[in-house]
Amino acid sequence: MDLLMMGIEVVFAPKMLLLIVMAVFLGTLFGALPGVSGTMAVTLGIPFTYGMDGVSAIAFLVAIYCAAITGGGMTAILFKIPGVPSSAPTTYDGYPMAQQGKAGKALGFQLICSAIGGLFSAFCMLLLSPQLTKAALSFGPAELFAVSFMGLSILSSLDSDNICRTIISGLLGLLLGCIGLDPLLGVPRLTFGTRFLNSGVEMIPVMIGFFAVTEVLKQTNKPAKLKAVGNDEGNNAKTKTEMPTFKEVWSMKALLLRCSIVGTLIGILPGAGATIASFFCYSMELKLSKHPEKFGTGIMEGIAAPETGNNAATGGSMVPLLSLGIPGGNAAAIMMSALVLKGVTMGPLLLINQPQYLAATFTSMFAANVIMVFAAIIIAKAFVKVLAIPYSVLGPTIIMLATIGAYSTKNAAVDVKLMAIAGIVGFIVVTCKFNSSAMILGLVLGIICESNLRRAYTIADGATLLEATFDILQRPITLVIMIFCLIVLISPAVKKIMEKKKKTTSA
Amino acid sequence: MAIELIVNLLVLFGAVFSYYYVGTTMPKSPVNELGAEQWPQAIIILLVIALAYNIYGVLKRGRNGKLAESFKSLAPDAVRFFKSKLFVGMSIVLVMSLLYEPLGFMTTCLMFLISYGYLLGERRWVRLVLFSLVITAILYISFAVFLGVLLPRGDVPFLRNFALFIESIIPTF
Repeated sequence: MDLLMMGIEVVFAPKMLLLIVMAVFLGTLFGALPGVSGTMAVTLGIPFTYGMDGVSAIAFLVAIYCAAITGGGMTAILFKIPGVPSSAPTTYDGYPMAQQGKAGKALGFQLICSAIGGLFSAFCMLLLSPQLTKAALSFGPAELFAVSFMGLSILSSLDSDNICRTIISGLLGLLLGCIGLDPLLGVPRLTFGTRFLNSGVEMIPVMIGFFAVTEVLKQTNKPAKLKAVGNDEGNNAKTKTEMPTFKEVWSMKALLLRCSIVGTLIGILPGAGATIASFFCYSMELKLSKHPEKFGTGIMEGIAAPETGNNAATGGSMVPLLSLGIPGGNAAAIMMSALVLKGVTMGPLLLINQPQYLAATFTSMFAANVIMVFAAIIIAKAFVKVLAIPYSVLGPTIIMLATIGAYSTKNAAVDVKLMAIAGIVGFIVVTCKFNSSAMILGLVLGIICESNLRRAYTIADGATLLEATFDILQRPITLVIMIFCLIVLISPAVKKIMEKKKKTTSA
Repeated sequence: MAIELIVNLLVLFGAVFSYYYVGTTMPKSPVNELGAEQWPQAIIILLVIALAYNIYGVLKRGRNGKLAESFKSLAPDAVRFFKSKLFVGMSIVLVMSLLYEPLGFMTTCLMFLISYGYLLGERRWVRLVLFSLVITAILYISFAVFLGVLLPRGDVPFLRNFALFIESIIPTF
């Protein structure tokens, strides 16, 4: 209750509320723009937070994130182009509904389901985070290493068709994280004699480069305009959002509850995010449905499942970030970097010493999910016109926004250069079918993993490294988490080998 | 396929070099502690194994002359790339990053929006310049003036004075 009151005090202060309303509009708009993912929306929101304190910054970024995930569904329904990757399953039923002349109904349902998923996960976050923090306080460096390694173990599952390349990307990210002053000894490592590398590879310019610049470069050869369904001129201003009735929503209570729970749980898993949640919820509902043949033809369940799931994942991804200091996904990693930049020490002690962070995150998420419904109705009318803006204006503007974000990190031009290089490298990474998300995950988690592992070895008993390793693995929590990590890490590869064997046997 | 192989080989050589570099430049660690060199070296060992496997995969896929064919088309592909919009786009982004501080935000932003907009197919000059001017003004005023974000004013005196003039005419709250 105290937390709730604290959150209300922070978020409902006039200035903060105005900022959240602004964040919701920005987020919905960013999310609705194809090519601007939820992560990129959060990244583009960073420059706005430079004048804010840590608590306001997280409240603002969380609101952008929640709204962006919802905004992505709008383009999925109207244009069959998911604004954010997590809205891809929404196109399966959203677009056919729009083609049947029910675009307004589909948009209304998408908004309500997103809000339900978001609100459910926000409450889960409020209830779970303090418990997880209490447990995490008893953790030593060995357990903290195991928890952060759990985030890395998801690497092999990020792209099951490209396990080897995804692992290479993750390892490259880990190696990039080693550049700079050694965290324990303070000596320059892998800097190749350059003083610019002494402070390490700055995460925010690299992330901005990878997500924003690379995306614009990718779009450079693509068509400049989009067409809304049912109108050849691309002018869909007559599309009116039609809210579902209570009866319609109530008839799907079981689906909404299932997808909210599953979405939140997937969000909590480090590395898995809104995209996995929405696909998982869609396929789960398809399997559980009494009429699976209707999926893909334009039914409400096909919109409700992914939209509830992906918004529920937003709250879930904040649980490990706030309680353990481990980002649950790319967007959470960017929020973490923004907070670290403000001098906030992430980890279990954050919620004990500064509970206002959890309170502000929860209340902001709550407010954003409610405001979002109204904001999106306005934006749905207006954004079709925004999408009519040619990419020749939109693309360069995105890069300039990214540049402001990169420069303002430390007011250093070297970060803008780093962003530009990261953008080009990101493009090469994508061209060679490597995985940029895995690289970012490695870069963010590598530093946490290494410092905790080395501290664990320093504390452990043992005359040699091997003995110290056995001592570390004798800690039950560490052992259990490491076994779990190992299973998660190798299971996609084993599954692939088994499938190959099955195919050869049947052939 | 050829590009993929070249990139993989370059990363592999870089990784092997880094393994020895970090080993020779870091202080020797005690036998029972994880030193500054061991964590990156462990990552590099795993990276080398994964890269070797990936290269093997590329070579395997490139059998039946596919890889040789890919190498043959490498030169024409490279020429096509250097003539492509993509390469020009990359160059514009790089040049913008180099000029960002010396010329200041306003000039760089305006030049970048015009040049990239032109690259993306906008041929109506008046519209392009007008849009670029408006966006530059919106970004500068929103961030530098209202949000208090420090944006470079430029090292060239008249550009710096112009930026200061713009800031002085807009009321702050």
